[in-house]
Amino acid sequence: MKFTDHPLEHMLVLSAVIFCAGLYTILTRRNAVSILMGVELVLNAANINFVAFSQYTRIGGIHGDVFVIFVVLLAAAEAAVALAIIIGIYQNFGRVDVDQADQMKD
Amino acid sequence: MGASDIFLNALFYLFAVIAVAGVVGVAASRNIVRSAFALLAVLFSTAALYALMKADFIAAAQVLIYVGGILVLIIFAVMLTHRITDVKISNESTPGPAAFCAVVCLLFALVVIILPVPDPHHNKWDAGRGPEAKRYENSDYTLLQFQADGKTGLALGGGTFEDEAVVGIRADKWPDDALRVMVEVVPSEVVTREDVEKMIAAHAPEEAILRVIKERGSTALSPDDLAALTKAGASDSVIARMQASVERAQLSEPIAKNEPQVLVRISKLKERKYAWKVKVVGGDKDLTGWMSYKTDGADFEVHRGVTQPIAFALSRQYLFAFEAISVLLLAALVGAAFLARKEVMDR
Repeated sequence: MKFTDHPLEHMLVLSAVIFCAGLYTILTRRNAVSILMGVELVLNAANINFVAFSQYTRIGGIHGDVFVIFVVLLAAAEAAVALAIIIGIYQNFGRVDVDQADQMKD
Repeated sequence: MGASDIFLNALFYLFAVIAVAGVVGVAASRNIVRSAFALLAVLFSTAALYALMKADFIAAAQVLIYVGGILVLIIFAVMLTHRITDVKISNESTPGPAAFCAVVCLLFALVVIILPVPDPHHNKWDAGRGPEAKRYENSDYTLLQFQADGKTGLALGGGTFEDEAVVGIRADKWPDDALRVMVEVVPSEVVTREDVEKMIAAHAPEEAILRVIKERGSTALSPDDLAALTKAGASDSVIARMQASVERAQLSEPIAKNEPQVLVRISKLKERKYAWKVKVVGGDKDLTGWMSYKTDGADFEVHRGVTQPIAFALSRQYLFAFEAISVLLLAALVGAAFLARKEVMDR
């Protein structure tokens, strides 16, 4: 079996691996920046799925690619706000561990 | 399978392996700076995979926004918050081994769902990959085209280049003396003899006429057309260009009598709209007339890459969503600046 017989399945398996690694990162890390990296991995896995379905099937045409643009922009907005919050947590608590930051106000 | 296909497949696997190594690095590394650089490898190889899947604009956006923006922000945050090496790395509420087992189970379930059942004739994504079929008026023949919204050729599987289209014909029963089918692909907005005559009558400069013929292609010239054009005052270079860019006919492989379907791959198509027609030939005579897929208009359009279709989609169907997300980005920008500045203001 050559690769081109099932290119879609190969891309989906790759994105499943990236998704699971991202989920593992989110679950196990205490550092807020690490958790943010895990979220980026999960979003990337979703993007790979969008592009793969859009390119390897005829269903939907270009719309999968357009959705990827929106997801990337949302990820950019989310990263900006999340990092600002992380800087705020660091200024208040002196560390960025998520299990330490358990107060809304110090 | 040509050399370029093998090369493309090798690149796919190479970047997939780099991406998997990167995500393992992100998930397992104890040093958060190393995690950030492993994330860089993942994002770059994902961009390369997008480019290989012919989503060139997405690949560029991935590099610009993720690598250039988000990753720089993350590394910035890592450097600002001084604890670079995490001594107590794992989160106590979810211990590492338990999370690992759960994630491996999830991955196993996902892979089982994704991978096709072993029967090669039962591929669950096939419904999306089949050809567009259309029966030619009251005949035994069905015309097929493998084409997907500007992604021609991909319908037969990945790894083909975008300037290819695959068209074909399926017969209920081939005539006894059928040998091959002939396919002719014509640009659908071709310049005809009348167009050139009109342009000459409007005193268009010769370079302009030559450019129009080059952009839109031209029809074949009969001897009558040639005489009429010469009489209208067309220069030799215009006539030569008209004859140089005529439509291209292509013969199929010999027809196998027990195989109802014949496919023809047409490559080196330019980036424009095309119509196509097909006829069955046997020996030196035609067994059918030309059968067109559509009676008027273009049958398929060739795009190189997705940049132009995305631009059209964003500026028409998704205009409101596009504006809304730009407002959201602006709000995020202001909010981030406000959140990061607050402490200094209080002092």
